[in-house]
Amino acid sequence: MNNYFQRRREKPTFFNDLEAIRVIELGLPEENAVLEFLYRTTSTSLCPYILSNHGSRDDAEDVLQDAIIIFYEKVKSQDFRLQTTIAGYIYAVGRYMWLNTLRKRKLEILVSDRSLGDVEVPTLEIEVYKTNVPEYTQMLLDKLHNGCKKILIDSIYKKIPMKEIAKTYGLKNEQIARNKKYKCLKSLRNIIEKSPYFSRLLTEIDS
Amino acid sequence: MSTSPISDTELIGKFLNKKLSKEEELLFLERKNDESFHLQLEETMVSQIGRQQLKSKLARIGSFNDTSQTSRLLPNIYKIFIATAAIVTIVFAINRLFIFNRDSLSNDQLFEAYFEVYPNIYSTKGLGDIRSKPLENAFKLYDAEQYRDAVSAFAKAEKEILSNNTTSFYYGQSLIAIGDTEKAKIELEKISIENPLYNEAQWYIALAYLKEDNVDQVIKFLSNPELRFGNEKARKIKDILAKIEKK
Repeated sequence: MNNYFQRRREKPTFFNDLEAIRVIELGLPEENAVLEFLYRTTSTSLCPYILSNHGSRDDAEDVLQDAIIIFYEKVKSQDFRLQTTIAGYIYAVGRYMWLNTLRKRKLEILVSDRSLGDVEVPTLEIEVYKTNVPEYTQMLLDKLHNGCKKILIDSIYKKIPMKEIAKTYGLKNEQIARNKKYKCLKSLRNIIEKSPYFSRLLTEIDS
Repeated sequence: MSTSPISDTELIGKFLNKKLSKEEELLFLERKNDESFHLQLEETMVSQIGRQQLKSKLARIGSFNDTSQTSRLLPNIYKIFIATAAIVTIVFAINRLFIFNRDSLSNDQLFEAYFEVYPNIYSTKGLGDIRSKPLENAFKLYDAEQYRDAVSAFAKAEKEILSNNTTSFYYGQSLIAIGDTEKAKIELEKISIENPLYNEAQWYIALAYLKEDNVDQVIKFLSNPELRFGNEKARKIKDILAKIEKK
């Protein structure tokens, strides 16, 4: 498998759907190449749709990125079922997101094509989807050691197996990687508990 | 697992946005003793940052794709021509950098770099409340990028029907496009805060000030924490603020 992907890396032209899903699911080193491939292949259908439905170029880029993120997170949580092509799925998610945006801008009336085909769009996830990180989260995570932040993101968000994390960070084995993650979570907990907002909550309850 | 009406996810969301009510603060402190709740809080924070990093990565891929697609479309001879032109430009830019202090872009040039008229996301079709011939005409001219004529048409439409947020917004756009930033600001400031175009209007008012070289007002408008934009626009705002603050 590694040799196969090595060749791909030299000439990154195409990933079939199953390869792309596998790479994302396992967090393989070719993940960036897959994301680039998905961006390239889905932008040709989704961006023109948004541009021809009252969207600007910035809107199109934003929605495309968000639709790929929804797909990525679905795969990571092993909740993605391949009913259509990945490109078809990302297109349907992006279109749904764009219709939502138009509705918020009170322009729903102007869009005639509402069908989403047979693709099962994760409407609940889309409704609560946000990319803005609250300032408080940002401030607390900024206090965390960079190495810890990376390990936590790899393990919690990217769901990379601990065995792979151990290799990436030059740790002796999986157990040591687990211990490291545990220590990092503990540091984060300390940072939260020492933050002024959290302390204020505690003081108020005491008084 | 808690049985209270507010879910753990919702409570964590409110905590991270510092929007807990008094009652929710008590609930939060009560649930924080639960190990699984604490873990969910930490995982939520890490996931928020992870998602933000992925979004930035995709934005970089997007900008790289733009460049590489353009480059693939060009025949070799044009590439050579462009490379020569680029070298000349770089040499010229380096000269300028040393001869004319270090401010490479004037505010007017910054305005030109960032100003783009907002696409016509409005159509008079089927919107009976404001359907009028002058307004239809104004939008036609706007779509055809004939902004000078569009300004007259929007002015006429405003006289015929009561002005509303949408007409003011596009009237303002046309005014900026022809360089009448003074009147444009007056039109754009008419847009009410509840209107979905409000944030965009604030962005264009800031650009109008940029064109007028009024840096203090640009900073005031673009630094307003109440404004909400997509990531691309937020990046542009950051760029502008960084550039003008350097001067």
